[in-house]
Amino acid sequence: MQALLVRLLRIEGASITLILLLAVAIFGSLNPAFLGPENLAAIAVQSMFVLIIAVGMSFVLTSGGIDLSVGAVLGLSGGVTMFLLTLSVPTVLAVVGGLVVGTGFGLLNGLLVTGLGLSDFIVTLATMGVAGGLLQILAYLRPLRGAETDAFTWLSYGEVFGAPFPIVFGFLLVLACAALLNATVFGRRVQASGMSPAGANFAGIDVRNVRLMVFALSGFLAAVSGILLAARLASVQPALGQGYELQAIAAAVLGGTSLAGGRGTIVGTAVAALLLGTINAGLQISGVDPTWYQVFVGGSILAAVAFHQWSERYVDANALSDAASAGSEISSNPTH
Amino acid sequence: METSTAFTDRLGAVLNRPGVGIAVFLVLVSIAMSFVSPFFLTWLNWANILNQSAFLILLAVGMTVVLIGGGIDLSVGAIAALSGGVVAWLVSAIGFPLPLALLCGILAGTLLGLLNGLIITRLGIPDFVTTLATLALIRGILLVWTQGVPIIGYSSNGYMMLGGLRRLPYGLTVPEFITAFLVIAGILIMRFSRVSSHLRAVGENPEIARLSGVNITRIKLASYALSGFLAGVVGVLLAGRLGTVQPNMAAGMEIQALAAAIIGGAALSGGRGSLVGAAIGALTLVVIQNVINLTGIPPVFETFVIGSVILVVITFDRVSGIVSGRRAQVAG
Repeated sequence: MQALLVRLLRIEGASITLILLLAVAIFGSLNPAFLGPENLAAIAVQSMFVLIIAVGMSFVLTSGGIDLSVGAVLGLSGGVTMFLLTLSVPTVLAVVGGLVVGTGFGLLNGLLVTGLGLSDFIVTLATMGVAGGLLQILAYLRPLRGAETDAFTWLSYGEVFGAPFPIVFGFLLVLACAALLNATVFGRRVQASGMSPAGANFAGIDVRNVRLMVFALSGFLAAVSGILLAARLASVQPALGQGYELQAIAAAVLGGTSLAGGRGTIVGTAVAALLLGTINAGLQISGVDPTWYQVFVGGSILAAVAFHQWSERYVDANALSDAASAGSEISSNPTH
Repeated sequence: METSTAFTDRLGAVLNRPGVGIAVFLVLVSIAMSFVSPFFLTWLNWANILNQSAFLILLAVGMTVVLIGGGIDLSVGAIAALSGGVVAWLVSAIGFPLPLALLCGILAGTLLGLLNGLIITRLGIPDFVTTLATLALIRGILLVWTQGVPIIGYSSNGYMMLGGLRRLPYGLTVPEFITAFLVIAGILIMRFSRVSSHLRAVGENPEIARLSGVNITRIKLASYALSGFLAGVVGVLLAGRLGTVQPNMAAGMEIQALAAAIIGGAALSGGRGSLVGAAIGALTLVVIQNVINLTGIPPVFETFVIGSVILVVITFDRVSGIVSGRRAQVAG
């Protein structure tokens, strides 16, 4: 039993998945309608926007950085795409325009951080203001709505093999990014850069280049999320994306990514983003006063991180006792 | 740079001090603005700027102390709002006398700060995550408590005076004096007390600090309690100034306080920061808003301009640091 638990807790994202299942079970028992496939699909779609930027955030955090601009860049990229659509630009070009702006902001972040050696926190705090401000100006120039094409709407409402496109897209994205972080040279370099920048440098890794790429990836994913969200909402408000960066950080940290760098999990992040979406929807469907959402989110972040740290210590302690009991018959009782 | 004279050496040393780059920027902006708007350099305008910046300066100073200790406090805006809410509620609903209510408000802020410190030190949850969570928790509690309805009916002449809505002679206000007192006290403590070197040691390298006999837990607890205390002071004064406590009062002020602390020379990696720099950083942010108001730039440009200016300031600061041969530095 103990060995099974240890093995389970060691699997990437296992503990957060257990919490997600628990949350689904609780909300489902409170209201069976919660478990309806359409409701679950709707929750998954709603969670995709934070999920996508949280995946980018996980790369940045793993490399030892932080990107506070993703919420604003998300909003601006969606806004730019919508702006271009109102100018009757073809859908493909409008989407490309949004992607270019988002990736451009990511590159700008990366260049300022790596080129000038500025703190990533303050750089992305500033670009958060710049991107958020640009969206306000765009929305001031013309209303960002009423110009969706069929192809654009399909991005958020279309179906692939009977599943909503955002879910299929998010699933493939998580698979690709998990492979990128865990099974490629680039992913190893990201982890090494976060674990010890000096050590990575000695090992011949161009840490600056790694960090630049990671910020660009984060900006790109923010743009992807923003464009999908714009298609979902069919309009872009001046404040779109505000506060999303904190939800993305929360998802990454809940999933088991370390703020100190060096350790990241894409699958865990994705499951945690689903958990946040589930709690949000679950509270609403259970008829809980929506003002409680923030209390629950704050409390669950603390609980999840405390649980995560307990499970790590539990695994460590029992891995040791496993090794010890192989030689002698010492049975240590893992109480902390 | 090897043939530098004594003068450039000294210039370099001055520019090395945290907050000097931003102070130079502030002076340059002020000179430029005096040509753009004749109103800018009047006493009346600066009285406004000082009155507006008093709160941000306090939060930035608290943030700097936490940053020096290697932490971060994202919950200060929420703590300020709850502290203000406590005062407003105690006065309007319970009928507490104002001084007692103020004390309770500040106490609430201090206890919430202490709670942050306890979660961080006892549960070992990272500072960033803890205060992000308590930000959501505290703001959420305020929302649930008020049901989204602003608290009103607690205002009085004395409270308005205290909040800086009513002015003393020469356009001065009470919050300015409170801020000046607390900041000067903070600077003196940081300069002359052993606590400050302990704080820097904890921020720079907790393990070495511990081995050197520094009580890390106590230092961390104290820094977060101080941050909560200052947020509490800001909250109760802000409640006096606004005359109503909205559930989203002071929302986002933590980000402004962080920005002020960092452009004032504090490092997120801990061990480094300057209270004077933080105060100048906060003043700069308020001056930028003032400039936008005076030049008649449409308000939608404000966020963009402030973001751009922060970028320019940190780049300017960095480049001036590189020019003056800045290396790893210890803050004064």
